[in-house]
Amino acid sequence: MAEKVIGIDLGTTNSCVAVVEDGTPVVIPNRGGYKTTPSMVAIAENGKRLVGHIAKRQAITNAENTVYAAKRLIGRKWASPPVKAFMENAPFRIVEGPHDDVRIVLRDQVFSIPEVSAYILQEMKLIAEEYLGEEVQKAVITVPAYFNDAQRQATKDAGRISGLDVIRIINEPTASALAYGFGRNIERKVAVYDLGGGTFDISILAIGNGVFEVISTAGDTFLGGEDFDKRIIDWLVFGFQKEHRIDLRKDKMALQRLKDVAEKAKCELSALRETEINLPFIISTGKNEALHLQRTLTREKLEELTGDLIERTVAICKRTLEEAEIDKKEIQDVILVGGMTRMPRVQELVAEFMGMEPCKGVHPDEVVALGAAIQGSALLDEKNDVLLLDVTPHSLGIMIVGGYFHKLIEQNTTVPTSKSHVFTTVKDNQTSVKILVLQGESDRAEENELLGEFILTGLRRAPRGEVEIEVTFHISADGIVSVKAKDLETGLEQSITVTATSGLTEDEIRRMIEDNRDYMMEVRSSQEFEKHRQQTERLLDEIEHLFPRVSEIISGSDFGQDAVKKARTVIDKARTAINTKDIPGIVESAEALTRTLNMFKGVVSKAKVP
Amino acid sequence: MAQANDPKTGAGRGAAVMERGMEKYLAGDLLGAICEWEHALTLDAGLARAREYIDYVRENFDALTREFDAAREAQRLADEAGISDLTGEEESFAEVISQPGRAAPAPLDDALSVVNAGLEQAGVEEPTRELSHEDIEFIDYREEAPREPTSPGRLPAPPQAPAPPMLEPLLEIDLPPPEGRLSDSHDDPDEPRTGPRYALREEEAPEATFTAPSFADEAPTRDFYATPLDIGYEEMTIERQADDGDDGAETRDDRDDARGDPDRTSDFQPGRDLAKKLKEEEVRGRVSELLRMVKESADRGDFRGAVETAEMASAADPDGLVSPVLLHRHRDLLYRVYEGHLGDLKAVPLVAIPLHEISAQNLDHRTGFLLSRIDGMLTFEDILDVAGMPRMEAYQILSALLRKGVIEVR
Repeated sequence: MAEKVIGIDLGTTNSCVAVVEDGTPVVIPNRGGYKTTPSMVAIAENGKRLVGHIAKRQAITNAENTVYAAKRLIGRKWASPPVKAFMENAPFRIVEGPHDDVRIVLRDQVFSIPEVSAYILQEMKLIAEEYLGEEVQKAVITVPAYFNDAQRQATKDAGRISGLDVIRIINEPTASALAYGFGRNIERKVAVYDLGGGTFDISILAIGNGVFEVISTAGDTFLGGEDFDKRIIDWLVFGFQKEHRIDLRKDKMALQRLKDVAEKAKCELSALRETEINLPFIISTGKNEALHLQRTLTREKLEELTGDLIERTVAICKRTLEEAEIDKKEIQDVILVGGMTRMPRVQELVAEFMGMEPCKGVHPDEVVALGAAIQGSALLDEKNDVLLLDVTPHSLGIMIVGGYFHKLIEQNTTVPTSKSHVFTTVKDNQTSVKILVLQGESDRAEENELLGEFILTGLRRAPRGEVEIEVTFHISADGIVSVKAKDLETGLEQSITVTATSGLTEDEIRRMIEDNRDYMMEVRSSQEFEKHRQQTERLLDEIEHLFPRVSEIISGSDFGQDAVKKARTVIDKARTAINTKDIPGIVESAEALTRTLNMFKGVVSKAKVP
Repeated sequence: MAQANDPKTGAGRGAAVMERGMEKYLAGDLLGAICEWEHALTLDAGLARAREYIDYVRENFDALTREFDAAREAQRLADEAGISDLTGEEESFAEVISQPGRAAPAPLDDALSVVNAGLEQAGVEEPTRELSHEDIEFIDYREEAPREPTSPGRLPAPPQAPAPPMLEPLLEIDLPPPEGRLSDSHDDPDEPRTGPRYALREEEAPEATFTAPSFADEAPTRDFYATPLDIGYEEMTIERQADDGDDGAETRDDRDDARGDPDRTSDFQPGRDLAKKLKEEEVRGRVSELLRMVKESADRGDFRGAVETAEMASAADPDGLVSPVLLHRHRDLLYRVYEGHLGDLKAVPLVAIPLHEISAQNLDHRTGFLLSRIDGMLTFEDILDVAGMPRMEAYQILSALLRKGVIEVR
């Protein structure tokens, strides 16, 4: 059987997994039948790890132990502004890691961000394995186009911890375009409008002859479906407060229910003109009675509540096109991605702005995962000639005299690419130069991210400006950056390959892989114990139920007494096995109990015969 | 900004309730203490110490219970034998439980020996045999061997236990003469009896600071461990003041009057205490009987009947702590009963009635919340995980919903 590669859309709020089956990409539903799984991880009071839907169902009542939107933190430095911004509103504890990275504390246990993401990826892996009936090893995972090397590396590490071999990381808009262009020979420029649960991205791609090229990308990392939910919650809360003078937000259980119902109502209003919101017994008044919340939300009201959020996305689109100097008329199709794009008002405004109806051929929730699965399948298929041309999300260059940043590769340059530039020495008799490789957009070197550094020595002693050094940047299709410095006079050269770091050491990753494996084994063992325990308990209950009657019938004889005694021994043995969690013992006891139960049933039924 | 100790805030109320929990713990009322600490947590979720205390007591519940019971029993036996006149020389019950290496007698054995001795003293001629365990109906459903405390004979201190409030009475008082069989050297009823004198340093009194008494490492002082025994007198003083319509300041004269007035003295003590104890015994007996019925029903496989009986046991003592203590002690049995009633915990429950009919039910908001978690995806086990409430409560709610037909398992 051919090896399967799954495609995973590791989203900020929801994740999705897909696979190519018989040449057709399909999304795999989870156990509940849903095609997306919430990207949430929680630790329950009993230490159990909760992932996905179950974690979401207790996200507010157990907020301090539930991680959401870990993607916003992955691969980030502790001191970075996005981390600080996130910390302001995060209900869970965020602490500094040992390598200037970010860690999360849940019930006194410290987790790295790749570890948390790994639990989500592992859930997606399990969903795929249950569906396919076989173990899955390889995966293609998508990331936003603006993710830097560290964020991509951290995502790869998350994959490793989850037990996956991540064969490629691809950009989300590229994946969307792949799914959009799948099976079609098209040549056009498309816009990917991606409004997900927590982020908004707009990307422009050129597709032609099997080549997918991201021309430009931008977005807002703090704008998504959750903001729409919040508006509905506020509307409900204020309405209730007006009527009953009770602030429902102060009660965690009430707030959890409001969050659930707001999201549900929002989704329903994509298809209906109005929806009933009904939350019976939402809160107790303290007078031995509970109040109900009942309201009708119309689509018009929702649009009124969230109009400014949609306007914000359009403004970002406008700015992105202007900055990339792309005329709207050049765009031939608009692909809508993310659950929020099902909202009719979003579609209307996008159509209005772009001057065309968005493409209806792709499913907004599934398209990214489908694209990843297509790419995964293509990577295993040597005959496949799909070529993905991504862009560098940030400019690359080196530091030059005065602390300035000299860009060699501009932002949004299609990869693979290579660029060279000749520099000279700045001091007389300078025999070495230090090359600082940087990534970012600021003119000041210190404001950009340092990717690596190396020194080229053995330069000829000469007046400044005389010795020429050629610096070459090369980015491979995988996004790996290598930098070379060459003394043009002597041919001496020095180079480095920039290795992105996720903030975890190799030892840490290995330990996390082992911990995760141990945890999963423990979970399986505990599930197995619970299964056998319940079966055995049922047998015990039936036997205990019959015991007095059987004793009465057969204990008159020596044989009967002996049988009763033996039955009691079997029962005691089973109880001991349960108490000591001895799974083989329980299985063995269950067999003996079944025989005993059959014997008991036989005795009772015979006794009934006159 | 809300202050942590402001009694109006959740945090302030939480701290006060924490303290109450510690008082109960020191009085040997473990479940009462747990209840208080859980209450404290609901008032202020940030009280990590409450969580630690709960975990500690839960983990060591059986061992602690045995220790406290043994100590109480030892005290009772000593009282009955007339050796305790609270002169300060006897071992307080906390001292008994904290003495290293001292083996506490099993309560049942002690009770039997006392009863047997009593029969002998009462002149029952030629008893055919001594009373044995079989003669006493004793419910102990715990199937596992009782856990021994980590250090036998020693009671580990709870993490950062607070110094007990009201270590000593507010003023020096003389105890009234005891009633009944406890008369010792004071045979003359006319002679005023002088009980132990509790020297009082008013300015030192009851600052509820959180300093941990070490049960294991220090010899307990009388002042500290006297609390559980003294608290009755404390309450009585307050009651008397209220009866008198005084302004609350008890004077030496008042106390002298009390000693000289036998009627007033009788107001003080035993009647109410005894009535309370009798009521507790009655509840204990009733709940024990109900629990025995729960077990019988469960053994017969009648889990619905067992659950209904368990509900009766829960409702037997709504305001007291006797029933909760017993139910907590037998929680393994009750978990088994509720699990048996719910069926396979891996099963996915569904809401069985339309939404408008749910609103017509008589439910509270916690039931409403749990009901809202039933979405056709989560199993019973998942629901217990996301319930955000104690497991027993979640079991009770789910079981009640199932019995009412609000939910079903297909």
